[in-house]
Amino acid sequence: MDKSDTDCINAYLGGNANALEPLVEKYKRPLYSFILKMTEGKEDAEEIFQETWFRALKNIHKFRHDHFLNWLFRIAHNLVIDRVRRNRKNVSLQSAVGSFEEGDRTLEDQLAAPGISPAEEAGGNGLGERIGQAVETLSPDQKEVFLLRMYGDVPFKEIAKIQNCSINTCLARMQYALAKLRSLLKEEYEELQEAMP
Amino acid sequence: MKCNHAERLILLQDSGEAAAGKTGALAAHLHDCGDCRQFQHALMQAHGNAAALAEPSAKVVLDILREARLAAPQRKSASRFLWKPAFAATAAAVVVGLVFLVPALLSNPVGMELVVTATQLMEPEDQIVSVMYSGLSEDDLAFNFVMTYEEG
Repeated sequence: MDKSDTDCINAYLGGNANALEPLVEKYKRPLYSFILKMTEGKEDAEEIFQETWFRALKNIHKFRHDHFLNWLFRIAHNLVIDRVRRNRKNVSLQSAVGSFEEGDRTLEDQLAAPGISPAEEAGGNGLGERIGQAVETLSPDQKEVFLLRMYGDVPFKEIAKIQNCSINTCLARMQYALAKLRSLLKEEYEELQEAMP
Repeated sequence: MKCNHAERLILLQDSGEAAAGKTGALAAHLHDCGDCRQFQHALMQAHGNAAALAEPSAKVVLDILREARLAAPQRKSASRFLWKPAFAATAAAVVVGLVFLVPALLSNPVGMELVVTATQLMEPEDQIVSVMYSGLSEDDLAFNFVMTYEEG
């Protein structure tokens, strides 16, 4: 674990009520960005972001992880899954989905809303934004692997634990995600390649 | 090396999880395979561009910090530990006291018991007289006797 993370957590457990403030500041962006991409809107994202921290605070005395951010990602992952399940119940889609993991398509796959929204299409033309839009077209499992690598620099071994699958499955999801991004952003990549010396 | 394997190695190398012995073979494959070079390039581009991070609202962050303060474990205050030296001092005093008192009390337990028993065997009035006059010399007793009868 990061030395400063350990120090902050130990100080907090020792009674320093403000000791977690640097960790909240340090990890708020990658964690929130990940949740925002995995949920349907800012309101949901902020709620899950807050709940992730509240759960972390409640269980921080049990923290035996290598990396604090990975632990937060794991909590956030579970909360996102819970949210998807709850939303699914709300719209009475149980009959459409037999089990959580059905063949190659998971519950989240089936609930994914592929395509780029008009609001996103109206966005800028920068490659970053185009990549962001292309990421939205990935299935949730692929998107999660991609985002955990990009935002959190989470190792595949850790992603496998979060997604409760093998490391090979995670690698395949990332390969698929990159292949899809390459096909969607073919023109941009070709322009970049031509520009390269 | 097949392209599928090479792509996985590129991903593992990117995450710092590739075995050291595989890097040479991967470099050789990348030298010959344009498609895998493009895959690696796409990964680098994604790293460079996808990391446009969003930020939660200030209110949410403040709520979390407030909750963190409320949920913080109690600080270990100094007063919690002051009882330890006080307890140690009291225990030491008791031990020292016992070291001196116990031998004194137990020096002649049989004699003490006999004295007490002899007093208890007397009539109650005699017990009072015995206690009142114990320790007085014969002159004192004679003086008391005279004074008692003179008053009478």
